[in-house]
Amino acid sequence: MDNVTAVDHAEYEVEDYTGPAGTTAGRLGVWILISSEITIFAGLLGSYILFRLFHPEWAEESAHLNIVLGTVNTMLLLTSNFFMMKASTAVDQGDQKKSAKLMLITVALGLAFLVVKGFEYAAEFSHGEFPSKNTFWSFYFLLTGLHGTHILGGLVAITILWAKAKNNALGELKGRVALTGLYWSFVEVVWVFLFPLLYLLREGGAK
Amino acid sequence: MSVSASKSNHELVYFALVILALITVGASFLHLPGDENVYLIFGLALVQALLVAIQYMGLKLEGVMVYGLVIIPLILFAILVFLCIPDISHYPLNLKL
Amino acid sequence: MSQEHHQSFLTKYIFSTDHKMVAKQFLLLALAMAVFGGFYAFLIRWELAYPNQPAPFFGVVTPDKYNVIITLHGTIMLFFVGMPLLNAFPSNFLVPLMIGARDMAFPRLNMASFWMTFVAAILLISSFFVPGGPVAGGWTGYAPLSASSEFTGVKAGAVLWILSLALIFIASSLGGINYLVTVVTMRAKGMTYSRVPLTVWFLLAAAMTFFLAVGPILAGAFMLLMDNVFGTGFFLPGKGGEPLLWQHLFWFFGHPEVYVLFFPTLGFVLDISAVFARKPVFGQKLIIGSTVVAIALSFIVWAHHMFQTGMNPTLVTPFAITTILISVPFAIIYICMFLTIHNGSISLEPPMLWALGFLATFLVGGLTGIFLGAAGADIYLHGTYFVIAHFHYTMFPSVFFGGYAAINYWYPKMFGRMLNKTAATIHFVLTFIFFNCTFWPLFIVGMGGMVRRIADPSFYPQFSPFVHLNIFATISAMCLIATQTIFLWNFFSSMKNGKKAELNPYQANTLEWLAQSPPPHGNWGPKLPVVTSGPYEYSEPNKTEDWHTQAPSYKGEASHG
Repeated sequence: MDNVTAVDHAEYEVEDYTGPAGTTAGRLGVWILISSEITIFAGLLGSYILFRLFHPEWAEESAHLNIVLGTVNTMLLLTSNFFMMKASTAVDQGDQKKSAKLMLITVALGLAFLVVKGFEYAAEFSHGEFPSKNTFWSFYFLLTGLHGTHILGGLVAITILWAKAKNNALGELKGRVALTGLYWSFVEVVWVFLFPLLYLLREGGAK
Repeated sequence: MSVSASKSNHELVYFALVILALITVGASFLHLPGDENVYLIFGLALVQALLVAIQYMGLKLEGVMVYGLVIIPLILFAILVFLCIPDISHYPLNLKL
Repeated sequence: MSQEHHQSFLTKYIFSTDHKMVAKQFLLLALAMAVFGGFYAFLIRWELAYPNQPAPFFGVVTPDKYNVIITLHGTIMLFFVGMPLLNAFPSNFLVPLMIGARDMAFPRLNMASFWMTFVAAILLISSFFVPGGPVAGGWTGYAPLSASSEFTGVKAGAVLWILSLALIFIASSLGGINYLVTVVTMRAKGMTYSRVPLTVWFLLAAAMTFFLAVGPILAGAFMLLMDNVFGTGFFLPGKGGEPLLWQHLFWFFGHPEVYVLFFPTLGFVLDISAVFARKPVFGQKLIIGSTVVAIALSFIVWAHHMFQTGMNPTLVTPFAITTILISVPFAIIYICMFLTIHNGSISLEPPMLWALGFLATFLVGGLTGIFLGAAGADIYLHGTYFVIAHFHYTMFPSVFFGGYAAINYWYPKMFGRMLNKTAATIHFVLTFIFFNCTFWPLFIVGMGGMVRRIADPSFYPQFSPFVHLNIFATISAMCLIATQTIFLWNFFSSMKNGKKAELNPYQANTLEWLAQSPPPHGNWGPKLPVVTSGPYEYSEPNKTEDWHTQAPSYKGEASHG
């Protein structure tokens, strides 16, 4: 099957579209995907904000979250994103081996994020803080769970690219490194808002 | 194609992001009167998000179409939240909670 | 260069990445699901006319079964018939052909989109076989009915319903990404945006509206899933949740979704009117501008579905104003449609009949919408059959008149054969008559105060004056459903026995008519067409022929022989 598709693409004479900033079809596709993802997180974060506005007492629940582990996770994700950017630069410079190493660090940091998150979940469960405890915890688990799923998806994509890049065999997938980096940055941006919304509104909060 | 990504100074952006993230966490421990620390926290978060979007995601080199793809959902988000406030956040039944 | 490829049965017909095959898969899925949806419609009408009498092929429609049936009728017709038939099928088939591309930008994403939709359909149907049966809370899934099994006794069915909807929403978004990227990046040389046919414009508008609107409902679906599976209370007031939030999230998506199912039909009708009236489309730019305004407004009208729900009265006036306002851009588009056929040399071929039928019937649906946008009238009418009649006068013309127009018009290009014209004409005339006979009485019944969502009207003595109208509507509905067998026979038998189609049977300008019928894998000959003119240059003065193709220099297959 792969052979057939390879032939198909070879004979298509689609002229490469290049928009501003070298916006290829793939890049535009990822941007539309991100646009669509913004609306999903907008629906969830919007619902959370609407509830939070008339539940100032959620500040107390929020104080039960582990702010140290939250900060560690913020740093892990920031650093992971930085290495992904480096990896994408390395591919552009034609150094696939180097980019493979950088992607490996990215994946390791991303996994560390999930492990830390797992510890947090375990500690919360042991305190009886289940999704059904009250609506704050429902939102907490839904928001972090959905974000974690995005991380997992990104990790799978980066791992596939790493497996190719370490053998210098990215080939046509070269462009995918930058595209995955774009998605990875978006996951980082979501966390930038999730972290303060869930962890940091302990003092007063919105009244 | 990551022309955009390679034109950014990744290290500088990274350090800025780390420092901003730490200030954000610190700000949450401030005891400011009223809601000031809420504005401070989200102001800082917004700066971080913009840094990532403009520098890492290469928004600074993109055209109108991509800006539209980012800004329109944000406007819809604002509309959804704003128009639901009278209904969800101030629904009379919930005021006694 | 040969267009013949060695493809196994599996890669050619099942896991195909060819946009035309994916389009046909979507079309067949929509037709198959329409059989289910139509059968449920028959059961609903049967119960309303002959309560508690056993329905043919089914048995007695008890109230609990009635709830299941109306829920599935709505879900299937909108999401599994409307979206595949009006968005996925035409977008896949027409977008690459009309803009002069060889395939979609991401062919494999396209295949994934179809198979996700297929799995979603299987999930929905499989809910019949789980304990508790399928979901019974209405197609809008209003919380708390949908959020907790204690109200309807349905648990597994509700979870399957939510998963199925989430999956088809994700699949349709992925499809939408594909159509948008294809149009932006893969237009043939000379195909500027102003030369892109309106069908493509409207398919794009629909895809864009969909992916911008779908986020909140997906968020809501995740929350509803948590409520059902993990015992949370996002939408359950007893647990500190807010049932109205679900309605806000649902209708924030739901209203734009109506336009997602309506825009493609506008595109088909405009293109078909131009061809069969031999006239340029009137006010092409005006139409596109109005569409942009309509999309923008469609995101701030959603609460007019909720005037009755006890939402904050502060919101009623703003939403009533925007709702009335949104009829302005649509009125402009409508006037442009009439001016397109005005003074044209109209030939009443089947596609044109469907287009004209759409204009006539949708007008009724649109005008009665104004009654419902005004909050005062809405609060009386919203719970009655008036809403059912209004909704079906908008959706039936959009989905079926528009869908049949598209199938009739592009059938020669899809299968290389012509549909039987006599059968197609009879099908149109009977459908048009029986559709009106089915739904017009419901306006009267609704105005009279008969409320919807009840299984057995004979239980309420105040509805006894409507018995005869209900029986009339039911008999018409049964005739309407029976009429569709003419179409199915015509559709399948013409594939084998139909008259061979010429390349361009309607002498149309747009690019798809330059390709072979049916187009081969890769669509075009060795060279892509180069576009030199717009899509609607019909009946120009001082020309011998009343049409000329958009790419006159295209040589097709002949050049490499």
